[in-house]
Amino acid sequence: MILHSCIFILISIFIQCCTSKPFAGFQFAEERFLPGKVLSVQDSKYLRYPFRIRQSDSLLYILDLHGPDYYCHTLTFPEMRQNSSLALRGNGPEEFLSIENIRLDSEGTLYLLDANNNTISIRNPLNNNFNKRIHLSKNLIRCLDFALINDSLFVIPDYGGKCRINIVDDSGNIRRQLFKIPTKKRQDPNIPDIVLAQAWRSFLDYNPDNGVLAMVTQLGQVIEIYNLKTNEIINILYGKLGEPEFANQGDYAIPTGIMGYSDVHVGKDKIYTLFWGTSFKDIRKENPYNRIEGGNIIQVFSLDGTPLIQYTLDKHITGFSIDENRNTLLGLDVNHEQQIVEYQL
Amino acid sequence: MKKKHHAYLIIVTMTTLLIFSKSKVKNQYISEILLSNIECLATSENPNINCFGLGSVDCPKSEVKVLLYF
Repeated sequence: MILHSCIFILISIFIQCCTSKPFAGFQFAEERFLPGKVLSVQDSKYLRYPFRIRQSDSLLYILDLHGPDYYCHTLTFPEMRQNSSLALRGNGPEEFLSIENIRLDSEGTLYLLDANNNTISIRNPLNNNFNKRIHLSKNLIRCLDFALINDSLFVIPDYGGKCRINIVDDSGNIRRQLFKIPTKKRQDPNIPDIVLAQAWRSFLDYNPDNGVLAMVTQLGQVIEIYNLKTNEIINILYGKLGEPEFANQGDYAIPTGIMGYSDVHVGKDKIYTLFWGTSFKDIRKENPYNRIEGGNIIQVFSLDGTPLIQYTLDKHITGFSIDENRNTLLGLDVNHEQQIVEYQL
Repeated sequence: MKKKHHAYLIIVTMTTLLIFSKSKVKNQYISEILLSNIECLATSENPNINCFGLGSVDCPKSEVKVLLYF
């Protein structure tokens, strides 16, 4: 009898291990497939890994994460003609080592975050020169993304693990540190905070009009929504694939779960996210010269985190921009020769 | 009766092994193509970390974004 009970208990544990899903996942009110329209670029430069796209009036700015010579290229829009190339790769005083993201303010001023130089460079739209380079505090350790709060403050995800975000001024100094990594699973206190922060590496976007900051995990399926005007948490959303999974190896976080999100946009009343959902286990098995890079799931939420609609795109993209006036999305497709695709939402 | 006990023992052992193995990080499968053709960056500060390919994942302590590392 006792033996039967033990067997029953062990089998129950076995079933729990195999089938337990700690996170229920997002329930979208609507799901839709979206075909895209490829925007052919005339005399296009080859972009090795287009990763970010920004629009200012009639110009598109594209960040090539692995640009062999220049990191940033501009195109006229909607004509789609090459306009200029900016941000030369190199070790020189006005050159760039590793641009993580580009931002435009309302006046068309371009900001570039260089993680390996630990700087934010600012390009004057009047004379097209990079006339200011902000040296960021070394206490930030490594800055992998940024957003503009206003013309003198930036928000940067924390890499040290002691907080979630840093508010940094235009001298590069940390003015405030806010929130905590919203992990529910941290059980081993011996894992250094910096390892947790590496695993929870996130992309972010901020809308100064509504004060909403959204962060999306690269290595898991978590979305964080904060109000930076009141410094409050609005919502933390855990998708079906859950928190970033990792192993601690020599005080580095080795990702063992999924490629999660790679871009996010906070609009007037919606948050748009780009989700991949590919497991590293599957990536390792793929032929690296015959694989699809990117995600094709756009998940849209309200500003308080209510799931609204999920789009499945016909192509896989790495980054996107939203035009809320035209209700269109421009996506970056690294898998094809013509790399800009437009979707009507 | 003896056969029943043997069966129970096998089930218990297998269940225990399964639970034990799920709590460890498994050795990852790496295709031969990936090993032979992809640029491999062993970081100088941590030779136990290998970064592969071209992508958007930040390789620890190196200057490139990679497809994956382990």
